[in-house]
Amino acid sequence: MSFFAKAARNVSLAFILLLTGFLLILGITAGGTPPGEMREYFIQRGMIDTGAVNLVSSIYLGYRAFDTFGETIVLLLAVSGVILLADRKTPTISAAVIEPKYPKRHRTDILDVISRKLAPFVMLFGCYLISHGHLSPGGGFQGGVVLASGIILLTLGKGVDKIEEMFPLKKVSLAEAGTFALLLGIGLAGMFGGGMFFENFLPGKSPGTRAESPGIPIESYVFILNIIIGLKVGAGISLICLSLFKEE
Amino acid sequence: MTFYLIVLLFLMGAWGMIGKRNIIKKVIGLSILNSSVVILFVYLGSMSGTQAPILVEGVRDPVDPLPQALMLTAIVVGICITSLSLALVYVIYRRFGSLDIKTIEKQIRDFDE
Repeated sequence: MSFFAKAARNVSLAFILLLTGFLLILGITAGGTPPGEMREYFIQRGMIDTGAVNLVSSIYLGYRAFDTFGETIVLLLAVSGVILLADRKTPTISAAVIEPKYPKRHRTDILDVISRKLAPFVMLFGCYLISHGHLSPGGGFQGGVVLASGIILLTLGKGVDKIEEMFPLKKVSLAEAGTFALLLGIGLAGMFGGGMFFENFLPGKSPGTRAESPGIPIESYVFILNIIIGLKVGAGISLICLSLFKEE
Repeated sequence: MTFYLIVLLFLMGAWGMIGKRNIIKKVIGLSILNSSVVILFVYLGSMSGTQAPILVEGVRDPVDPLPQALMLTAIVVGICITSLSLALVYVIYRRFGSLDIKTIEKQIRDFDE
């Protein structure tokens, strides 16, 4: 590429970026203060309606559970797409000869020991985030990602083959698909229980009367959904990473 | 001030997507751009209060939880997009043996002629 062509390309790139930045700043700063009606509503009703102390959990598993369901569909699609695309057996049109640029990866004892000693605690922390998602910062998605990061840490230390013996891809895929079916079943159970899709069908009651009267506490619905979504996200992210890490 | 930093982050992502020739760097640019949008929404939401939206004892002025819940969706979708595009990059690399977008375009043109 000649000098002038390169200069013209850089100038046009800078012009586009500056224009975009200018428009963005105009748009962001001209908005004024965002409306706060929903904030008042969530603070007053969030805990009573869903029983979750963590208001973010009460929104994405209580009020907007249908949205979360769509989100899990997106994750499921991404996982199946990655598995299909990263599969070595999928034929390519013309197989370009790719010689490996780097020799076999080096493994040190440091990485090995640290990953093996640290990963159980990372996974334990993931389980804590999932099971306390309605009480403290965390939840199904975050805890699931932490769970998967424990598996990825093990994979970095030991290689994919060893980890596939521990977490066979078939079973992880089964967990991914099974939790999705479970989520769908819970949503439909809300409908058959006489309510809407993903309505709390447990014979619940408000959190204030937990000690005296019998019945299931209202927050157990968010708790169950958190556990299912945590398993699903953990299985999905591990599947994505394992199928991308896999060697020939 | 924070707005300018967020816009700068957005522009860095856009520059990575438009200006870089390596397609993995384009994917990284997409990821940075996604993060800047997430940061913008969380920052806008954080101006409505002073404490985390977790109603334990002593919390008087929690922030609006709605932007955070919406950004949870955005983060998950961002992860899905990044992983899918990385898998696509892998397929492109197997097909063309290169990550440089110019080389790939040249090969496609040669193939068409």
